Amino acid sequence: MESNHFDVIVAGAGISGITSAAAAASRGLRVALVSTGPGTFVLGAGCVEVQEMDRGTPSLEEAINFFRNLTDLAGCGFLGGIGETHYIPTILGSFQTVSLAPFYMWNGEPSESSQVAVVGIKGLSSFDCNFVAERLAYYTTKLGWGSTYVARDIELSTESGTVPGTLQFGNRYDRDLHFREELRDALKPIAAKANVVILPGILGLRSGQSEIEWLQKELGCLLCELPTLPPSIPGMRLFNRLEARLRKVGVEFFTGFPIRQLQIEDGRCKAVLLETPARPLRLSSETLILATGPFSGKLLGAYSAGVNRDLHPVNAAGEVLANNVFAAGAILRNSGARGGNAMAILTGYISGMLAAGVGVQYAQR
Amino acid sequence: MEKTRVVIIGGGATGAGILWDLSLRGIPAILLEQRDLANGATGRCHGLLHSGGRYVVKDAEAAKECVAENKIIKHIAPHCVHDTGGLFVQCRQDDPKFFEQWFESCKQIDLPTERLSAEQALELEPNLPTDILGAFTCPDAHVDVFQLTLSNIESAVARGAQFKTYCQVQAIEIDNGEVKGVRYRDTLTGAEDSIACEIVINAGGGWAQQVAELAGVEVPVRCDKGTLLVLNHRLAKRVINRCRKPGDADILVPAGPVCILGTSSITVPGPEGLTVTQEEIQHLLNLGAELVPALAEARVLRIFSGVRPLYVPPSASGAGGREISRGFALLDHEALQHVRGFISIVGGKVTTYRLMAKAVCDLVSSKLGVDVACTTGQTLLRAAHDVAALRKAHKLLPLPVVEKADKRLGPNLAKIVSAIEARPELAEVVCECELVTRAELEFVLGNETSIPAKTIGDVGRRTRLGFGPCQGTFCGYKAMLAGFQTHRWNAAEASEQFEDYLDERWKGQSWINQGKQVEQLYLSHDLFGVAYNFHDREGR
Repeated sequence: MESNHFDVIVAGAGISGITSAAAAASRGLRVALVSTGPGTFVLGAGCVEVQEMDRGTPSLEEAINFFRNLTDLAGCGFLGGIGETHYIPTILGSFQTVSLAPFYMWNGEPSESSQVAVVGIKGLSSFDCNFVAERLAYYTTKLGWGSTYVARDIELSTESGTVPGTLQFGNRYDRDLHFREELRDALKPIAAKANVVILPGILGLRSGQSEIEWLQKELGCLLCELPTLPPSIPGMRLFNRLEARLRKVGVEFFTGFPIRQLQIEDGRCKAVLLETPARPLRLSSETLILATGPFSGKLLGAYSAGVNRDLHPVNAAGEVLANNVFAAGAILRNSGARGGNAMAILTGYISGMLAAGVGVQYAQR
Repeated sequence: MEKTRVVIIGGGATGAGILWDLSLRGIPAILLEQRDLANGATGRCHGLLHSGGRYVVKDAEAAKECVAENKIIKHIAPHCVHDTGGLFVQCRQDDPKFFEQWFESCKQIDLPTERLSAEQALELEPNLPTDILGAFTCPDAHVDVFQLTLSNIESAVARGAQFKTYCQVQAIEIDNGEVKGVRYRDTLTGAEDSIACEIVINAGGGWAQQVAELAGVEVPVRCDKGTLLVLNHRLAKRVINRCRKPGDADILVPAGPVCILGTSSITVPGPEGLTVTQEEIQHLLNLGAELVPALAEARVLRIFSGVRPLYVPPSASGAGGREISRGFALLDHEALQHVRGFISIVGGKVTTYRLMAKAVCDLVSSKLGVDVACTTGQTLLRAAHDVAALRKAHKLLPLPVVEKADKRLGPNLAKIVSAIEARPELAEVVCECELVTRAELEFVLGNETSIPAKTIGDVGRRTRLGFGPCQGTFCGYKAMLAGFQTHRWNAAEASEQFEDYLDERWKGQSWINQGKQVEQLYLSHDLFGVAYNFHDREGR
């Protein structure tokens, strides 16, 4: 086998690209994932909102189950399901409605009896626990829930000469057992008087379920992490866990290089040229999945009119631009597709399956 | 009810200049502004301190005023001026007769200029088209219009003057043909109050007509919209003008880390609710690219419009926007309409704000029988900075941060320095484009400054926070939290502030339909709309 020839090249490592690569790999294909970085994972936490989509969308349930299974295996399990509407707090003290979320965010939903402590960290200027607690209390009252909120600040040591930052705390949570214990000890007196503790996202860039559950058990209460302004530590953690999982099942990563050009000849994409140092790296494949986000339509030149039922990009006349290319994720925004991460998972899953020759149809909404 | 001698309506450069001039003459005055200082035409222009070259061929009087004021502003407000110099570029497609006419006219009014060959010009400004025929130099400069306005207010306040922002005048009280005072409403709190005074000065700019109506007189002002584009690099070191009859998009002004291209000239019904069309943007970019070809590929950060409040003398009511003089008019409504104590100042431009203020204050002085001459032309607008504080600042902050903070804060830098000494975490740079520290942010939001910020937009006008590529997506959030932490707002008010701020920042980017800034805007929409479910792009 040629070293640079793949069954599938997936372009883009956001939630749709990852799902698509995992789906194709699950069918035994040789998959390359090319990307410039972790996509939109740096912005959020991967929460999935199904509300904007029709729950009866073909393959939606199958795709979501696939994704849940993938995150479980990656040690970054999601809770919830298609039919659920769950309220998760944000750093602006508002509530975001989601159907599925990583377990470390799921616990933030208010309930009749919850006593919630919002915890800030001294010197971490991009998160203000007083502001968040005051706003959450306001919305909770407005929506008729019974939760109460208090704000507490804790102090954590910083590495000498550095300013407190979520990246620094996240890194230390991963590698420094003393830091974890320091955090536990600082939270303990607060957790004693609360049944939910909300804190800014700092619990590791690579940590898995067990590392976070450890803290939860030690504190004896539920934890809820809020992604701060980008980069979002929970989002990067999810990406790192999923990447590790994908590597394990054989997906090969080409990270850090933008696509220079798609070689399209006779209605087929023959190869992808990456902008690597010195000279472009040429990767060829049987199929290409473009999950490159909402601003990448120009890669296909004439792409403007969206996709057909098989997720092939088409031009304004409805003609397929390349019959071995599929589009997935936010690139479909241009054709009016809605649904955020749910749509990304759905189209990522379907494109991966189509690349593997499994007949799944995308019914565009 | 408060009492003073003079009330000034309008907090642009002109109103602020009048407040300062009156304070130097010892005349008590209060300035009322319906929004924030420098929110109208003052804050929505190129920030070009004209050398006079722009008007020299067509309007020698306006050009002469610029020649004199250019020198004066550079002398009295060096902290507001970036003395870049300027070029008038001879483009191959333009009329060579105009070039010579321009050069001759400059000589006649002593506008200092030098003739450059194409090679010399390209050496100075490599981004000019390679086929230019040559260029002329001139003393154009960039002026920070926000700082200029704020410095006038700050200095006036130090001499006992007062000002109120977000206070809209509801009525001008006139009794027996004589001004008695004004009634105003605080638009943030809804409170109403009155001020008794002898003289009311209408420095309302684009709103001058509405203000005049409150006194029952007519002031013919033509609102002439100019649209400007902010680009994310300095594509030129100097102000670049096209040497031809003034037209659209023929001035590019380097302004700090960005540069500003403009303008259009379109008559609009009034100063509010300005919109921009795609055709207008494309028209400006196409013309701009003839002057600086790199503009065709440049990233547009933001698009904004302002209105030139052009004074239309009754004899010239048929003229179009570019034909009306950029000169100003002082209207004494006592002589004109027998309304004693009401004065309007209209037309003009930022470069001549001081001269306009002087004309007003000379008239006010004679009416009030105050025999003190104008000294704004010699008096420095701001006290020298504190050398010891500056030395300390260099130890606490990186050099580029100190340089910017020193320019913006002057003597107040000492307060920032002592705040950081007491709480080192305040050295954090909150706005990375304009290098605004947390200390400066807290200072402008606090009560130690005489010109406190009441909104996040005000913070931007004080510090330039949010003026760079992120357009407030990250630093606006931090400014909101700072306002909450310094107790300027409670959590609910802070949220509302941030929503208003996002609307305003998003609006200026919404006209842009391609390139990196569209991605930036989507990021902001998705973050605050989808991810945080905080504020939707549709607005409220």
